[in-house]
Amino acid sequence: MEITTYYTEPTAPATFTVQDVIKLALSENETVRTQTVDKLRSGSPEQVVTGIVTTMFPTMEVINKTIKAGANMIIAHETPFFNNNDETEWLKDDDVYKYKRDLLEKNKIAIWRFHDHWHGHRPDGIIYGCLLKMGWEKFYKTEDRQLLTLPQPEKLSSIVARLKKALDIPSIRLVGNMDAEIKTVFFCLGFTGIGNISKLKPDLVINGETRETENTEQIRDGLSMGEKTNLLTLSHSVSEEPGMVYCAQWIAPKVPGVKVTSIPSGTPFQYL
Amino acid sequence: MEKNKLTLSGRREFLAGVGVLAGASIITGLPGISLAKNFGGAPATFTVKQVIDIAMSETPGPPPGRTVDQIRAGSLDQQVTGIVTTTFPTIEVINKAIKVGANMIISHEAAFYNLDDNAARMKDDDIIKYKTELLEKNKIAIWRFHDSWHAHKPDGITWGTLVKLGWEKYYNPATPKIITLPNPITLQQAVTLTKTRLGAPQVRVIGDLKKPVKTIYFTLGSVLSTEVIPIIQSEKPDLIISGESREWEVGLRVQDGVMMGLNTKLIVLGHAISEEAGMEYAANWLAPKVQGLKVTHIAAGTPFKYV
Repeated sequence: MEITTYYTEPTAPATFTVQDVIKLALSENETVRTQTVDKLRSGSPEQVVTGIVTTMFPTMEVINKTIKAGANMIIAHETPFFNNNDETEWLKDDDVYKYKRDLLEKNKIAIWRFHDHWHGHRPDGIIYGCLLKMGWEKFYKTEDRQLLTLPQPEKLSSIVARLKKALDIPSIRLVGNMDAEIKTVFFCLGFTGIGNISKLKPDLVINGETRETENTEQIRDGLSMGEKTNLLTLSHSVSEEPGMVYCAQWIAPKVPGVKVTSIPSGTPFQYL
Repeated sequence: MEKNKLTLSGRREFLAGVGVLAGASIITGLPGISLAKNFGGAPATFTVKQVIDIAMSETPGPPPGRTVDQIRAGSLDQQVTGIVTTTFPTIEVINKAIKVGANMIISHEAAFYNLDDNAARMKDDDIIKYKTELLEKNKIAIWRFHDSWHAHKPDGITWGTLVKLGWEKYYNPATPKIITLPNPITLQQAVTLTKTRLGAPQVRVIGDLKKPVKTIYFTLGSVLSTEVIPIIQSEKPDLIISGESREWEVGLRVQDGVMMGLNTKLIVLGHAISEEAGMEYAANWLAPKVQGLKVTHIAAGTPFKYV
C-alpha cells in the first residue's frame, strides 16, 4: 500500500499541540474511556505538531520515514514496544527497545495510540476503512457492527482476489472452500476472538490474527461436519492497515494546515 | 557390547526408544499416517488409565498440580483397542481413528478449541455437540499429552522436531530449546529444510534469506512473548523457529531488530505443523511401552490453504 498525504487548507493560521490533536481524534466518540491503551507512548502533550503520520505498527522503518517527512506525531493503532500495554520495565535492557526509545527522544517524536477509541467510533474506523478499500461500504449498516450482508452472494475466490488487491496482501490463509458462495461476512480484524460461531453462522469470517488452537480449529471441524462458515486469516498488520489509512483521511479536515500522511507499516513477512 | 554401553549412557531413554523402533516401525503408505508397532512380546491389554500412567512415567518430578493433560472424552477404565497420536484431535482425525480401529487418541491440543471448561458454552455450540456425540457414540477416549510431554526430558515435541530435521545430534540438555549447528546455513536453507522435513506448505519469514544461521531457538506451538523476547535479547539466536508468534510482540521485536542490523530472524510454521513431528515421535516412543497395541500417528495437518 502506498504512502498517501492528506491536507486541508486552513482558513486562518493555526497551530495544534499533540494534546489538541488527541482531543480532536476523540471528539466523535460518545464516551472517552479511562481504562485504555490509547495513551501517549513518547513525546509530550504540549509539543507543537509539525505533521502527523498514521500507521498500524509504529515500526522503526515507519519512525524513520516519519522523520524524513518532517512529521513529529505518529498516530499508531498498535504498540511501539512489543506489548499491548506498552510496559517497558521488563524491556529496560532490551537493545531494540533502547534504540527505539532513543530514536524517538532524539527526534522528539510523539507516538499516540488510537486503538480502543477508533474501534469504539461509530462506525468502527478500522472496519469502515477496510470496507472502503474493498468497495463494500455501501452495503454496511453501522448498527450491524462486525457483520456485513452482501446484496448478492459472491464467490469466495472472488473475495480473496478482491482482498489481496485492495489490501495489498501477498498471501492469505484460508480454512474453507474457494467455491463457497458468501453472503454474510463477519469482520474480526486485528487480534480478536471470533465468538460464538455456532450462533452467528456467518458464511465467512475475515480475521487478522488469532490463536490457531481456538476458532481456527473450530471452523475446520465445522466444515468437516457440513457447516458453512469459512475463514480468511489475513495477518494482523495488513488487516487493520486500511483503517489507519482511513484515519488519515478522516482526521485531516479536523487539523487544517497540518499535513497528515498515511505510512503503511505493511506485512512483516515473506511468504515462502 | 562396548558400543552398546556407550550408546546407552547419557541419552539412554530416548535413543533406546528410537533404536528399537527403527527396525520395527512401518509406514502405512497412507499420506500423513505412520504406524509404529512393536512386534513380538506377550499380548497384553491396557486400560486408558494404564496408558496414561505409562506415558507419564518418564516425566521427572511430581505431576503438575493444574495441568491440561486430562481425559477429555471416554473413560479411564475402558480397554484400549488401539492408540492414535496427533496434534489436534479434529473431526477428521477422529474419523480416521475409528477407521483404524483405535479407541484412544493421545492429542497434544484441545478437543474443544480451548473452551473445555466452559460448560455453558459447550451446551449450545453445534460443532461441540456434534463432536461430543461422535466421540460418545464410538466410545473414543481423548487424553491430552501436552504439559507432561513438554516437561519430558528432552521435551518430546522439540526432540521429535530435531529428529525430523536431522539435528538431534546437536541437542544440548543445558540449553534444551537452543541448538548450535557446527556449520552455518543460510536462512533460505533453513526455510527449505523446515518446509520439506516438517511438511509445511508455506512458512512466514522475517529476515534476509542470504544471512547465516548457526544458533536456532525453538518456540514450537505457542510460547508467551514475555518469555521469548528476553531470550532473543540474552541469547541473540540467529533464528527462531516458531509455531505461532504474535505479530505485535515477537514479530515486531524481530522486525525492528532486523532493521537495526541485529541477527535474529524468524520462521513461523503454524501451530499444528510445528508440533506434529513431536506427536509422531510420541507414537514411536510409546509403542514399545504398550506391547501388543497398535500405535498410529495421524497428522492433523495444517488447517490452512495458502491462497
